[in-house]
Amino acid sequence: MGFNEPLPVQFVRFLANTARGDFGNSFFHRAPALPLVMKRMPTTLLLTVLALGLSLAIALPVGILSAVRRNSLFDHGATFVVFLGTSMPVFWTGIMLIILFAVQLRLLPVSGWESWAALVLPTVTLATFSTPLLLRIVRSSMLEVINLDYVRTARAKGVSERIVIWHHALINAALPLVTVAGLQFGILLGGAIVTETVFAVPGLGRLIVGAIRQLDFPIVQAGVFVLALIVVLVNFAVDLLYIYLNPQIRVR
Amino acid sequence: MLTVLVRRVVRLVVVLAGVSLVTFAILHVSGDPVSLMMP
Repeated sequence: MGFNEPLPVQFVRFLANTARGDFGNSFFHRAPALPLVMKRMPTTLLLTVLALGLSLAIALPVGILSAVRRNSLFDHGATFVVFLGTSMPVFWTGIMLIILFAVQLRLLPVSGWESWAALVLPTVTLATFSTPLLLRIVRSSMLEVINLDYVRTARAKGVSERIVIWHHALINAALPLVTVAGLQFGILLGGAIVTETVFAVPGLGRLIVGAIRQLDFPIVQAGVFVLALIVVLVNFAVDLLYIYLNPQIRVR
Repeated sequence: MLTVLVRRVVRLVVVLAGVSLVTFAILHVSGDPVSLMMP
């Protein structure tokens, strides 16, 4: 394995092997590490995308409504839910949801990943982690924007309130949201490891946790590298979206 | 806009090199790899 060679030589060889997608063979599975990781990757990616999608689907309308109806009962209720969401750890939320919806009400499966019903609880659990932050970002960005002159001008021109909010105000308010959503994607990928463990989801997180227990370094290296690569690529995509959303960058 | 894009791509490559270094370090910082692999 070349452990007798100097570290820089080992690192250069590691870089060359990584560029070819070769992380060595898993000590436990007796198979190449990268295919094992890639086989589990879609599950984790689907869970993360669903959770982020659910978070945005909740955070956007609720955040906008909170900003438009500032200091109303709805706004205070949303703020309360935000604090509730941020103060609950993911593993605890997951267990509580299992007890309520799977054990007591028997509406959803306790664990697994075989049916669409099985996706619901892990997705909701993971989304409770990211929704509060995104909601706060939407609310504060919208509050900054809806009092600006160009929004007032749009209203003065007789544009309907729906178009003022969703078309004129939201595009500018979306800039910080896009940045935070990109960062949240990486955090959710990490959070998916805990959620996968609680719900016995056969994803990358469980594979990495198992590999750490078995000292299966090729799997850990391949898993960490692939996760990091996805986070970097998602943030690159966010940068591109930022260029599209912000005309100042396009002009520069 | 092209300058911004090129700058972002260069940053992407630097970050990937950093990620490779950290991933490589996982095996070596945690001690002697051979003794860790032995049962």
